[in-house]
Parts: sequence; structure tokens; C-alpha cells
Amino acid sequence: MAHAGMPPMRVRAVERAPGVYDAALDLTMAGDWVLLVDVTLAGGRRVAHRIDLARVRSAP
Amino acid sequence: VSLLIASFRLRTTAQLALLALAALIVLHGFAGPQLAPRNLATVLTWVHYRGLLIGALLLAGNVFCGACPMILVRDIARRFHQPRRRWPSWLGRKAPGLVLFAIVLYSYELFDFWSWPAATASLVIGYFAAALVVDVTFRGAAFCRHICPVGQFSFIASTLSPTEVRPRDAGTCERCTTADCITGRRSPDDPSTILRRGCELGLFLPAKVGNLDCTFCLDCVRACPHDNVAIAWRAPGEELADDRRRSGLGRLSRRPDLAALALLFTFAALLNAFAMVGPAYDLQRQIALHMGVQSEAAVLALLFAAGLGAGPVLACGGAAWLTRRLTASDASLTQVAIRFAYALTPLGAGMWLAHYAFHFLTALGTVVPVAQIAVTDLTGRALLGEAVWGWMGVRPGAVFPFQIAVVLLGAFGAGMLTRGIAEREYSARAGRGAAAWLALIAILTAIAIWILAQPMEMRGATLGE
Repeated sequence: MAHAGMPPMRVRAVERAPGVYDAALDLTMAGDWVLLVDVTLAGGRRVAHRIDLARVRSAP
Repeated sequence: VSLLIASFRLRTTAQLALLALAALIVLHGFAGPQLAPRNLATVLTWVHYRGLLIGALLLAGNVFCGACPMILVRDIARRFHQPRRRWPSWLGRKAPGLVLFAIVLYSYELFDFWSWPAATASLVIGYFAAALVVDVTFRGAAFCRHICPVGQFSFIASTLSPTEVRPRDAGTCERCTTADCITGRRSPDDPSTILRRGCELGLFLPAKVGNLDCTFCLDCVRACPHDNVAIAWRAPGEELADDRRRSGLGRLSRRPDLAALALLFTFAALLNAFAMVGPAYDLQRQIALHMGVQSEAAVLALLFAAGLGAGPVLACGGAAWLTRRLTASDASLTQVAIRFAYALTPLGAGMWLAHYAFHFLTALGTVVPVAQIAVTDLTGRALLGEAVWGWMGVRPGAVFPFQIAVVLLGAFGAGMLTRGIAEREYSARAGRGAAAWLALIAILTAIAIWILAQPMEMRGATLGE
């Protein structure tokens, strides 16, 4: 969550097929979320990527 | 105990601690990650400081003003440059502070300070710079008294504090010939030398009523040669129905600016909380759509003009009009509105507490991993260990009953004050005098509870899809 004070949710993605990973996230409220993907490659190299999920809405 | 609390070292220690925190906020705000939940600038400022500020005001007193690090910096600067000018009367006594209070709230929404660490750090620097410039230009505590938006918030909230600074014994003050509490204690050898400064906000202790304009600096406690000034317990809020002439302020019923501060405090509490819930964003989209406006600044300006301008004027104007009709009063509409506006303050305080306590309690533990991140970022070494995202705070749903309770408590306090003011002004017709204001309090309380019951939507106020 982009708001100060909101704790992060941490989940580990599971490989479903070669190169395809699944992770379930429970976005607990509407608003702006930030997805930080932390990947450790086969050679041990780490790659980080940020995805902004703006304007997440509540389920009707 | 008062002398211990008032000791110069204790105050300076508290100021130094807050100055160090401010420095940390600035450093991490600029050098740390620009992701608000992981930056000390945003977490400490918008979660912990705000929660502790309103909590301390309502449970203890105006202790954050007393420990303000900006005064420490200003005092050091004044050793090199003494201010010579008086605060210009044409600027008004509270008008600049009121305007800045509204501007800060507006900017908070417009620029999403809560999610922007560098902007938060810039705000802290700007605040220190403004205090410094004002207080090396103008004598006394010009910044605290006339300008500081947090100070104005704290002054009006501190009317509900359970403590106040006042004389122990009125007779001692009557026999006092030096009035050191306001002029400062002077050297017996050289009367031009002030050993202990008196109140910089012009509050003469024997005529001081309540906490308005009192920064809890305790200069008066240290200056009094008779050890006759103390921190005393009192009934919170009672001073808002007290229309005695008070030192430095006059009568509340003749201070439209202070009444405006009470209204701004109350309506801003509702607006600030409303801005965090889903319907606020829907409303902004509707405004944009119907008015053909794409600028977020313009839409927010309209929302603020309605919430902090037209709303309070119409609500209080309507209540005052009804009061005049019901009591057949000769007083003008403005006079009636000013007299009763102060009564809304407890409701505003309840809403501020409900809102800030939510952030504070649900994110209390986040300061631990964020401090660990900050130390690692600033020193290059994990001196406090790797960030541990363990217990973060109270579950959001668990805070809701507390939020409702404090809003209802605030409404009850507002009702009691309304009754007190009506009895003071209309005696036999007190019931008629209070009716319209009690109805207004009921409406505002219903709005407050409705806001708290809405799903939160924590994001920057962006328009469109």
C-alpha cells in the first residue's frame, strides 16, 4: 500500500510452469498498491521490479 | 513536580530529541526509498507524530509545543540576531495561522504528502525555515502565536486538555510587584539583563484563563520568583464556555478569529477524514464531470471551499438564525454564532482522535522495521538488524468501536458546552438557546459516524480512470 504506516504483505510465488509463477495476494482495501517483485535467478543474481497498481477499487 | 517538569534541561533534552528526529526525517526523506511505508519521513510524520500529538493534547497537555525543536533553533539564532520589529497588527492575530492551517490540509490532499517522503522532508525544512525567518524578524513568539498551523491546531485542542499552567495562589500574584511571569526575571545588578524570560505570548498569569495561546514552554514557571506557577489538573473543555476577559486574548465572545479557529478545527476534522474514504473520490469525479474540470487542484479547491468555507458558514449561520428566533435575542447573527462556535470543538477533537488513532494504532509497529531500514540506508550497515516485519499494529476492524466511542464522547462534550453557553447567555431560555446547536451537533455527529463507517481508500487523489 502506498500510504505510510501500512504494513507490507509478503507472499512467495510458486512455479506453475516453466517461467510462470503464481502468488495470491489479498488486497485488503481500495487505493494505490505497490507490488515489489524480488527474484533470485538460477545463478544467484537478484532482480527487483516495481509494479504500481493504482486505483484498486473495492469489490461491489 | 512542576519545577522538575519546568527544568530547563528537561525541556532542552526533549527539544534536542525532537530535533534529532526531525534531522532523521529529512535525511531519510531525501536519501531513503521513495516508498512511503518504508521511509521514516512519511511513517514518523504522518502516522506516529500525528497520533501522538492529538493523544498527548487530550490526555496530558500541549507538550509537543513545549518541546518544539524549532524554538531551540530560533533561540540559538537569536543569540546572533535579535528581532526588533513588532508583529504588524494589520496582518491580524490569528488570520495567517488560520489560512495556513487550511492551506496545509489542502496541500496534504493535493500533493499526497503521506505517500511522498521527499516532499515530507521538504515540508519539515520549510517549516523550520519559516519559523526561523519570522522569529528573527519579529519579537516574542510571533511564529507560534500568529502563524504556526500545528500551533493553532494545538491551541484549540489544548482547551480540552486535563491540565493547564496557572498560579498556585491568587493572593501571591496580587502582592507581586515585578510581574516576572510576563516581563521576565531580571538581574538585580543590571535590570536590563533578563535572566529568565517571561511569557513570549503575552499571557499574564494572574489574568490567564485556560490553555489558548499557551505553548506549555513553562517560561513563566521558571521566571516566577515566588515559585507560584504550577501545572494543575482541571475540567477539560470548561474554558470554552468561560467568557471572562483573558490575558493576551480578551473575551472569547469578541474574538471572531478564535471562533473561526474552533470551526476550522471541527469541520477540517470531518473533511480530512472524508478525504480518505471511497465516496470522496466518487464525489471528486462527479464534480469534475459536471463542471467540466480536469484539474485536481480545482476540484479539491471546490471541495475545500465547500467543506471549510460554505459548510461552516451555512451551518453556524442557520443555527444562529434559529437561536435568535427562538430566544428573541437582540444579538446579531455573527455574535450568536461566535458565542456558540466554541462548543463544537470537542466534536472536532473526537473526530481528529478517531482518524489519527486509526493510523497510529493500526501501524504502531511499523516504526521498528522502517527504523531498521533507515539505519541501514543511512549508515550502509544493518546496525539494528535486518527489517523485521512482525507485529504491525491493531487490526483495523478492532479500532472501529474506539473511533465511534471517541466521536460520541466528543458529541457529548459539545452538547454539555452548548448547554453551558446557552445558560450563560439566555438563563431562563437556555433550552431554546441550545436547541439549534444541539441539532447541529447531532447532524455533524451522524456525518462523522457515516464517514468512519465507509471503506477506506488509501491513495493519492487522482481523477479519472
